[in-house]
Amino acid sequence: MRRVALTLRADAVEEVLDVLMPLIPQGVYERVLDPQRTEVAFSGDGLPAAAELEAIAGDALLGRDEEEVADSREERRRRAGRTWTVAGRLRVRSPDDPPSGDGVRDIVIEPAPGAFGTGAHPTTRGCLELLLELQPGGGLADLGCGSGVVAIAAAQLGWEPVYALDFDERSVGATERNAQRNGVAVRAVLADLREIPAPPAHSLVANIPLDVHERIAGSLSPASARVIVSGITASQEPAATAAYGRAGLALRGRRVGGGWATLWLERP
Amino acid sequence: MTPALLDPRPAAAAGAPHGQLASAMTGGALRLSCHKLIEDAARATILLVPGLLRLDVRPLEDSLQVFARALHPVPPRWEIIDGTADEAATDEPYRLEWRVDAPLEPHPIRGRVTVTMTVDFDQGAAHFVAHALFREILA
Repeated sequence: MRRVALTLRADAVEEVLDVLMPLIPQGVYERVLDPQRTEVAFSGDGLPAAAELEAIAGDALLGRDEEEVADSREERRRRAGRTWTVAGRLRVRSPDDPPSGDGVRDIVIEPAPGAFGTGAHPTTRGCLELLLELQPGGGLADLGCGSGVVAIAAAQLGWEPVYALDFDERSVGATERNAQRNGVAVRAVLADLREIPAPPAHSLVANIPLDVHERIAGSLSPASARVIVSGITASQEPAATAAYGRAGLALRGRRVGGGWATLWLERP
Repeated sequence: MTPALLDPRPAAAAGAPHGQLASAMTGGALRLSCHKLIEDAARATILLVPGLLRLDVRPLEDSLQVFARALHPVPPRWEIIDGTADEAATDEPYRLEWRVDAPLEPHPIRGRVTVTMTVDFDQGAAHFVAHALFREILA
């Protein structure tokens, strides 16, 4: 199968896609190479000829590569990359992607079915952005840990001990594997937070639905002085803030993106 | 008289590569429908109104990116009016619904767009269904 990768000027990608998308109905794979360059790749039979692609891209075209590749979804996904940079200080990537090499903190997450937390979702990014702003110290529990990315980041940044809880066995297994891969100590625990209270860690990071937040807030330990609340939509922010407010926590910071809200609350 | 942007013929022709259906409704409204299987991390078009807008989606393992591309000098405004983004535990397909307002002269165009997504983690792909209805606001 023929695969074409166009390197385009980042500021002209959308104009090129206006013409390209009808020709590539199966879709294209975009990858930011740096702030000035974006790769747009696609594969299949019957792709436009080189001359046509050059005419479409015009002076936005900085480079073009072509090769024969296997007709494999896994291969196309691998080549698309799974690297997400958070606040310019932390990079979440898959084992297939190259390390940053630029001094940015690196977290390697093995993609796993059902284990939420690749670094792509606004709620994960909100948790990581707020975590980067806080002064590390004391114990931390990552509630609804998914892939374990938040717990691993916390352990790297200096929280100790770090616990990671999830009601999904696959997530607990993924967290254990990813913590080991990143060389940090995270204790992953299978637990349903609809059934038990949150552990009494000094800091909690909870990327979970609103109803679970309300349960956690209702039985919050006095030892838990700081909570990062995520997994809620922007419209649910007042309800979440009120629930933790009744537990004695006040809003200190927030991130909103893609319709999702992530909140930082602390005891005064 | 139907404005050019709501003529179903160009929408059908331009949307044909994506499998998009376009038809005229009573009162000159434009109705669109499209479905597509999209692999993880691929950005693909699921709705196209030539000269007005294009809607692309990009499913990822744990998230969905939506690209609302304006194809008119006066960009339409997109507002989410409903969805299941706050019901992560539901067994239903992920669903998003927008109201789209294009403040055009002499008459604005208003539309409603609904997208549902069903993900198969093992297959590494998601199935999308998009419906839309656009009409001119004469009052």
